[in-house]
Amino acid sequence: MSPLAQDLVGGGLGMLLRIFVILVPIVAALDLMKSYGVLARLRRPIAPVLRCFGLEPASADPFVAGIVFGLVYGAAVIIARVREEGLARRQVELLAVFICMGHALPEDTLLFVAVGANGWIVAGVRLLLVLVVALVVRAWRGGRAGPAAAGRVATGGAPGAAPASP
Amino acid sequence: MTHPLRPRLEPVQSHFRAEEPAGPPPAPPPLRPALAHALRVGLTAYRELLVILVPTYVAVTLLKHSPALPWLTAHLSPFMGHFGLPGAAALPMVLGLLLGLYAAVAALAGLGLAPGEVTTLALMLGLCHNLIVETGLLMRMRAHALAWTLVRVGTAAALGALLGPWLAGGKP
Repeated sequence: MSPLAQDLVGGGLGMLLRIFVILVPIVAALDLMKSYGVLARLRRPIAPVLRCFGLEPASADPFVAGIVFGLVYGAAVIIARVREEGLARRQVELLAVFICMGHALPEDTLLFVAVGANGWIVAGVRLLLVLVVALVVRAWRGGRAGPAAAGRVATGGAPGAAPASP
Repeated sequence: MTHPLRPRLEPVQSHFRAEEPAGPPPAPPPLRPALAHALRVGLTAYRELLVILVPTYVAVTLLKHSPALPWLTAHLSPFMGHFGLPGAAALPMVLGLLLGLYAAVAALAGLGLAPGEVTTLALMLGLCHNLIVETGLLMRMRAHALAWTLVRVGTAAALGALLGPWLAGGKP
């Protein structure tokens, strides 16, 4: 088998399997926690922090999943939330800031620290930049996503979101 | 959307959505249907990711074996000086941007860069890496994928130009 075919088939299947093994348990566990009301309780402590950036409580777990586990898993949780809870479009766009620019912060930083980078600078500057961009985006187009809007959107299907359950 | 389990799980969802604490919390749903629902949500999420992961993986792998990478590396190396980096750093840069961070770190290990230069690379690549796959994922999220990718590349370049020379000056 040529190296290309080996990479395509072997590497590809390996990647799909690895993502399956990590992703399905994460998303399933989050859904289970949601069914039993655990998630709502876990979301409460970080809700004030999220509100600073115009994010509503329903965005908490995609946010955490994206920062801690990486873009792939954050994206999966977002897609699931849009489908299941009708996460609003503005929320997706705001989440994209964090997930795009700040995903897998711990993993990425440690990876480069292992080859000699200064972890404090790498993580600190990146964190700062994410916060700045998030506040800019919030001021620019998420200004009304304050507490009032968050409460309203959270109670029902947002316009343009996934069809709400019957 | 109309799933037999939906009606049973619905009361719990409405409880979760209500911001004000309701009187008595509704009874927890039976475990088995809740598990089945969770598994279904997990598998759906996986299937929706595959739609974007498979084509982007194929594209990235083809690129990895094509002459495009050495070509790009050769053309980028003169610009590395703007970030306080030696021309050789173009290789991990290109690998990180197009393939991913692990490829970049593997290439970086053999170059013998100074710690400050590795920090610059880590900053830039941390913001902006694996662009083909991640732009695809952003598209799947229905975010403004192209705009965000440009923001990432832009901030990474600006950050590198701003901090790179200072970091290469031997500070950390």
